[in-house]
Amino acid sequence: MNYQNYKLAYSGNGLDYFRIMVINFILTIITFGLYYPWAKARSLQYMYSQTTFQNQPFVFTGTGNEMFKGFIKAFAIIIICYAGAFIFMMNENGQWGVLIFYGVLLLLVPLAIHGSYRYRFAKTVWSGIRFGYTGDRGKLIRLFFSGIFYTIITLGIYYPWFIMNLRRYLLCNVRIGNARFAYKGVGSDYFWLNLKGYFLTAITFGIYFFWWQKDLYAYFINNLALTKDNEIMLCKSKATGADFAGLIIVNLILLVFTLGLATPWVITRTLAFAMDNIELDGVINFDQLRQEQEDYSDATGEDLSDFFDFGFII
Amino acid sequence: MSKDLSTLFFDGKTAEGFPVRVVASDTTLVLHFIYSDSGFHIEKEPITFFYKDCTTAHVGDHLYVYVNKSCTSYLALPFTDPNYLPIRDRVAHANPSLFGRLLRMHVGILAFIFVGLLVGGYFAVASFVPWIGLKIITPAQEQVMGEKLYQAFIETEKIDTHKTKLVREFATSLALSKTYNIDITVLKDKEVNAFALPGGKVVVYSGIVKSLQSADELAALLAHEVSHINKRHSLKSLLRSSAIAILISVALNDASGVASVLVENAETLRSLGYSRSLEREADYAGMQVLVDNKINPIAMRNLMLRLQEEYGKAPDMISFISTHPATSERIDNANKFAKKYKYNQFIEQPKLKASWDKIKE
Repeated sequence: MNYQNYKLAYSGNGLDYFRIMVINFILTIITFGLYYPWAKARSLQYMYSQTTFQNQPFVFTGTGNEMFKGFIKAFAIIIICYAGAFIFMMNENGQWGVLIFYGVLLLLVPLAIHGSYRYRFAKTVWSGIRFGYTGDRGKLIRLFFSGIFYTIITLGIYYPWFIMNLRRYLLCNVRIGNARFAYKGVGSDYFWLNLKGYFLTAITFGIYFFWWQKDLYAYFINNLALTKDNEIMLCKSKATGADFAGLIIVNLILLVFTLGLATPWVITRTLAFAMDNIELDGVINFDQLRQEQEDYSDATGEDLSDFFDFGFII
Repeated sequence: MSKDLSTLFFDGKTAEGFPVRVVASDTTLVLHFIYSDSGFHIEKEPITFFYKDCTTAHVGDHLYVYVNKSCTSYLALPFTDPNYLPIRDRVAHANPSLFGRLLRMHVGILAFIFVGLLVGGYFAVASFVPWIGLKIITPAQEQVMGEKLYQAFIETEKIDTHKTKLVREFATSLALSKTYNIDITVLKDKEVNAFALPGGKVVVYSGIVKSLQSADELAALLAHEVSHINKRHSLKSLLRSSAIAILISVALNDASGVASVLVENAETLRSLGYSRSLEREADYAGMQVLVDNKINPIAMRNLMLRLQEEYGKAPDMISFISTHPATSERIDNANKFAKKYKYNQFIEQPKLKASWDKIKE
């Protein structure tokens, strides 16, 4: 087991991604939106493939077909919710209807996160080895609802703890082959980080915002590690506040002056920035990483997340 | 040879890559294992894969050829491998797809199709949906809709019952609409404004009534508002803006934001022009209503001049002008229209005059 540095990189370019987005748009429009799941798959496939670790690319193996089926199921679930609420309201149980409706919608959130994690990671492959998410659905639901409960009774103060508990649970259950991720961020640190960021941003008329973003990114990266047997790989962010200022300001200028047409370049710059600023070192011998995670092809959760417009939560 | 420049095969059992020599035929790839340090695969038989089962990704200076659906087994070819280009082209050829074909097109052509679809889709949706909507929705349904909007609006307003009665009386001596039952309400409000709701409701603010100086001007104001109703303008713009909203959400679905930002920006500019064209139409139709009622259409111009004059006094109170843009152009148009009737005889109508005098008392 030799100590070494590892290399993570994003080598995509804006023009290639622009091309993919334009084709996606064309096909989505001429199919009246039905192409969307395939478009999403194409887009993810490109972004994954251009991300390399130790010179081997990641692969997104999810397909438009799977996500289309998932979309239909997710759509059915949402329709049933609305129909249920509607029936309640028609029967003059208005308040109960609304309450149950929001309750069910809220229940769908952890289900969507769980499903999305399972699907996304099972469909992520690096160097021939599949990722996986091994979290338990029931535990996540309990974690989610207790978090909401405490957040409400503390008038929101508990929120950073809620978010960190959720993130810790999710990330600690991500695997790649026989290696597992670990995250050790906690609510109290996250709370002070945000409190400090908020006040300093207000006092400095927004200038500190970039340093706040730097801290948030570092808090995510620096607390992340990968372990295999008794070997470990640690992550460290080397981005500075000034780096973040450069990234965000240039991105905004690009977007505003091109009426949004520069979106693919902005995404490319941002991904390259995120990858370039992670330093990885440790003693894991990746050649010995074994295939261990199962495949999982149900994209319902993934598509539910799309309905809620989550993007991808971490 | 350094591992970075050797052609490696990953078997999906571990993450390790094994050096191979590739023999590419017209339909298949054959991999021959070369001796590796770890000692695996020395004795291994060559493996054959078909191009049609493969997918490729081009990353940096490598071509990655995934040989199974789950992408757990793949070949990493550096650009120095002589098979680099033949394999890339044969895999693409064995798996033809519309997407692949589009991907090989010139980006300029793609951008052209993109813009064409955007513009075409926009005009198709913006004109087709209102057109079909106006065919489907009957005036009776429109009236129900207008009634609901009116009730919601009026809840928080004060009605001037006396003036309402007088202006209604004034309107009875005019033929304003063939299809709709015109119902006028005057509000106790200093604002110089008036507007029409779909289905026949017209709301007039007492501020505007006060600023008018002749029966003809009031007739012109009512004719303009009623023309919005006759031409179903509110319904048209409502249908149009909801169709555009749907279009934007479809465009949003491409998950890029590229199209949606464009559409939204274009829409803001367009809707200004659209409401302007509706105003122009209402002016024109309104003057026609005046002529039909034997009133000199020059009253429309006088109305605009009057409001412009009021605007000079207290700009904040005159929302009629700010929501009815390009007044000078509209005055010109009114002048042109009225010229045609220069030699017509328009005599003062006593009944209208009597109602007007009561309003002005």
